[in-house]
Amino acid sequence: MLEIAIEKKLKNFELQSCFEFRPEPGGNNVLVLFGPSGSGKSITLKAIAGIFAPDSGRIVIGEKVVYDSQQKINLKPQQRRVGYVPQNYALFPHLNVAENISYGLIGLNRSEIVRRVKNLLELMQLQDLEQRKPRQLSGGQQQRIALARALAIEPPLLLLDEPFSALDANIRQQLREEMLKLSRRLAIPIVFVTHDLDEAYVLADRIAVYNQGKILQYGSRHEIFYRPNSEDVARLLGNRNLLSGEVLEVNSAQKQVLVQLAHFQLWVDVEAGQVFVPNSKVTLMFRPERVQLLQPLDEVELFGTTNYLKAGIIEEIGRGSTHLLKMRLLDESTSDLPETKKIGKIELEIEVSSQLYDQLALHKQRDWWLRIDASQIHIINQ
Amino acid sequence: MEVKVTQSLKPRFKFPGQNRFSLNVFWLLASGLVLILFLVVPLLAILGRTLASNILGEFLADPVVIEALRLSLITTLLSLLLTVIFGTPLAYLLARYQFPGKNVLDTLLDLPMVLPPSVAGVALLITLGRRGFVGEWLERNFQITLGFTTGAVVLAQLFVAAPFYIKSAKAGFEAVDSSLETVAATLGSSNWRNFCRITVPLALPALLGGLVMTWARALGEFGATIMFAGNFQGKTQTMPLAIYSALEGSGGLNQALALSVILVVVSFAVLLVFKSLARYTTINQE
Repeated sequence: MLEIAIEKKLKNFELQSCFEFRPEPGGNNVLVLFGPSGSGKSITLKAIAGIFAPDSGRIVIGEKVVYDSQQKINLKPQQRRVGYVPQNYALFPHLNVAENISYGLIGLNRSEIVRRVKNLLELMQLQDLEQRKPRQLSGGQQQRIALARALAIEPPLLLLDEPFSALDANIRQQLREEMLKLSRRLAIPIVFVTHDLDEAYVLADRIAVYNQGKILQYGSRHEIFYRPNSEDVARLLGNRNLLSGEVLEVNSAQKQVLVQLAHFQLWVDVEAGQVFVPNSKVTLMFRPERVQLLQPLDEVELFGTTNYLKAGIIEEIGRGSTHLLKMRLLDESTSDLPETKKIGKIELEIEVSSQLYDQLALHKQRDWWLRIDASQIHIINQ
Repeated sequence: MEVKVTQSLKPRFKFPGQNRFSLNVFWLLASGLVLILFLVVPLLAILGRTLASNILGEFLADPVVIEALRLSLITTLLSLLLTVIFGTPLAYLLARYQFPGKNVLDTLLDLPMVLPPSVAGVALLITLGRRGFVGEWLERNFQITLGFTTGAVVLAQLFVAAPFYIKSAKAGFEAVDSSLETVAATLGSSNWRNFCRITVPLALPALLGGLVMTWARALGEFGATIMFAGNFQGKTQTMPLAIYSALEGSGGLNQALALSVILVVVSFAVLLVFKSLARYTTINQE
């Protein structure tokens, strides 16, 4: 368990970090601090490790209060003994791999140290490298040694500051998977700082989204990705499908609302706890991979059903396994809406698998009927 | 001491990728030769003249020579010890912490390297000498007299030579990534252990380099010593002072020559040992 509520005045902004992380059984044990660089993630990590002092607040690791400005508690890093791996790994260049890993094993007898180092070398698949110096090893191996050194002291918590950012993409993915296995096996909670969206999605049980020193949202991976609480969070998470509109009607049980956007309307599911009133301004958002391409526009038109849009592909980016399509909504030819409500250039991003891209012959067929299910649209009051 | 540079510029008279002895190298060598000759020939002349006149054996038994050599070695070792004990924490402080006036302090500490030693002599006399304000107080309350004692020799050396070590050690500590120390602390290891096992080993080439410079400066110290400690055989007469006295007085040129040769040989040996030590520690880290 990790509980943190700290404040610190810095040159450019004021840091306010506040969250409670309880690993759930069956999860990855990973809390991701996500945000652009310079948003306060790394500083929060350092404050937990005890190598950076906040102005005020409270930090609890497990059951141990390590920092409390009111009770004047501020444990030294040596007393906190959390496993901390900085971005540059900070391996001791003059010590070999075994000496690096065993650096924090103080006061243990020789055979216990040897046993632990051996176990860790095996766990990290570094068996034959114990006599090497860090600079003789690859980036991925260095990263593993740093991890092993942090794990050697059997810490109550592991803090990783962008551990894979200096590595090649393919190694990064491999290490990411290894780390997931490791964290499930060791059952040590991990706080993981990253600005990589994929990394955040793959690893996180819970995510804290940072911007300018503040946590904009803290919640489960699903909440953060699919239910962002503000446009800022949606944008930070790479969601470009943000549409603003007005509530037309709310059904009796507050289960669904109908939203008017420019010339078209969408039904949207309302989540528990959300309340909307007619005529209020709202923002709709949905993930690019949740939009369906229904059928080509020149085929039969669809009537009487809801949540359909007409759009044409204006740009596409092939990403290997998926294609990202930029689509512009097409004007209703029979529209008699006033000029202000006429559709401008509303663009959406839609992600389709490359398989589907080929099947639908999207390189030729550009104009489509789209459908967005009411359950896939997230709505917030403006 | 530029250990790394000497390694990468191993004297091979060609530029990388060039096999022929080029004209460029010829001119570089030709102009360099002027200074090489100027620096080396006088030293060889001392050696040659001493060996030729076969006077070394005679003077090696001379009490003036023996006492001067003994005194030089003892006092420089003492000033070196004091430099390490008090200079190391200071260098670390200057390398790791920011505080108001740090720049001024840093410059003040460099000053003894730039000033003529005679200024150091005057400065020491008026503070620690018998009539200096600290010296007078020490004599009145503790019956400690510093001026014109062996202790004064050590202090004079410390004054002019310690800044070399401080400067070099500070640069050495600065070059050690401080995140190594913070990570070591999170591993539960005390700051003292981290300093001894991480910081010092990594800064060792710079520390050793600083020590050599300090020792060399202390060994050659003349001006401040003769003013603050005087020139008493067996008590304050170190090698440089003995050479001066020999030329001026009874010993004559031959005694001066013998003393000089000893100084040259001892210095050369110590420098060589330190240099290879520093190189060894540098290579060992890679």
